[in-house]
Amino acid sequence: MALSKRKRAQYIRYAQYVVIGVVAVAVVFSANWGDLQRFFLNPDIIKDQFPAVITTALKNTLIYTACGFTFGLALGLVLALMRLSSVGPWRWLSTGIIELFRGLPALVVFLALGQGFPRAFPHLEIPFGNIGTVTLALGLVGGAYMAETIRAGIQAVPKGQMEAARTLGMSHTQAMITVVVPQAFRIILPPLTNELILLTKDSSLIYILGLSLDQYELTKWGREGMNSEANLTPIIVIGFCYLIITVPLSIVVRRMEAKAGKAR
Amino acid sequence: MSSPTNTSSPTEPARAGAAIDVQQLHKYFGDNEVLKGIDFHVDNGQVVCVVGPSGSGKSTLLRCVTLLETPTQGKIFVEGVEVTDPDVDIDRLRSRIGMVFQQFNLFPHMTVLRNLCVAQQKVRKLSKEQAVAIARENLAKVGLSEKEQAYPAHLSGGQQQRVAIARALSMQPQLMLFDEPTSALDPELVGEVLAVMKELAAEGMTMMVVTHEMGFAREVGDKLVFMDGGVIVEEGAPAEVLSNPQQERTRAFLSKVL
Repeated sequence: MALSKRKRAQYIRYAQYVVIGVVAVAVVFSANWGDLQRFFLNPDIIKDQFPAVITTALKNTLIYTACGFTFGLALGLVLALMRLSSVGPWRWLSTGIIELFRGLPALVVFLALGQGFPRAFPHLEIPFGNIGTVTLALGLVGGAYMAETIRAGIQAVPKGQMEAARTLGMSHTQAMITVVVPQAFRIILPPLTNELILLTKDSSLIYILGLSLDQYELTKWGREGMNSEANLTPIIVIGFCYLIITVPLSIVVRRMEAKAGKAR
Repeated sequence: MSSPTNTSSPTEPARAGAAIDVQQLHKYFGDNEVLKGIDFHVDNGQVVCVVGPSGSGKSTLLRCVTLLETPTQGKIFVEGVEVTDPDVDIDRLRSRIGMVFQQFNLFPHMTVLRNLCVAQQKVRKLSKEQAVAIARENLAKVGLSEKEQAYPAHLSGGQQQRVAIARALSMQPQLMLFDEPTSALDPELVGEVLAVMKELAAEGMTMMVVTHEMGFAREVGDKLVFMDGGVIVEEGAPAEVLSNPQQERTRAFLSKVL
């Protein structure tokens, strides 16, 4: 075999195209398209989902996620700064909180807040009902993850930045707020988006709190639809709705990264 | 010794008329003693250049003056105020000491103008208009008025360092510290930065410059300090030290760099 390296690489690439093509053809011909369409993409049922799946379910998913993420981001920043503090107890406390809520399944956190808290403190109430609870639960889980990301971002900002700010007379706090943290957030934009996407899907755990019809978010909506129609089409519809949220998010972040890259 | 100015002992107050007065300064990094009892001063209006091989402790000495490094032992006075006093308001003091770094350390997420204004507004509590006016004046001084809306990444190294000098000047400091300001620059960009520094010296600014630029030290400096191994080996008038070094170590160093 006197094949040059380049020729061989070319043949290997062709072979891969052929394999992918064969697999695709096999799937297409072996699938039962009639049943598939009936159970997953029933046009009548699709029509029935709109517009409520957007105006109620998608909207609620966005609200729950936004609330949870906002609180989580603030909490994550506080935990990260505590983690970097020179005061021992702050560090220990934040390490404890981070380990706890990063380690627990989100479902357990939802249950603890939704079922445990009212029983433990009968005279207290989490404000804003389900929205308050989902904000706390998603925020705690997301914040614990984001704290570590933010800490890494802060530590990735060159030491000279803090020194330059301090020699201009800024206090440590001023330097953090105006110089270090903004640069840290640019560095960690991609992992933060990841977290936002994860939280979008975790927001479905709110079902455990018990929801009224107008509080349905996408997953709950899809499940109820699936049960009442005895058909999987609603699940496919809400699946696409999740993609409607997450794909544009990825695109926006890619743009922001490109822009931040230019300014660096 | 070549210098008649080594007068201080640990208990003395600040030297009269000294912008910087360092007395018996020791600095350890772990077990490593990088400064072994430095007595050093910069008088008001003087330009003092500190030279020496890498690892001689010259940058550490400069960083101790503005407390970026904490002295292990000894006293430092700036404008008569004891920097090493634990009760001193270091932020206030630092706002009067301009500092220029080897790596520029401009804030990359801010425009040039914002770089110059942010500390004026946050620390000196000036209004935006006042800060911008002072910033523009200093940008003009370093010859970069047309770059005020640019981001640091779009400037050459020499331009960045000139902006960094303008940023330090915008705090209207009483003295300026330069930590190897031209060492990170391409050779053809060194001149523009030195020109700005010369102009500053001509205006009577008090300056402490850690540098490898012997030409600058000879031309602009009022005093040259040669450090090696954590001690001041020799100091005196630059022309004197450069052309007629008294110490063997100074001779050895100068023969390598000149």
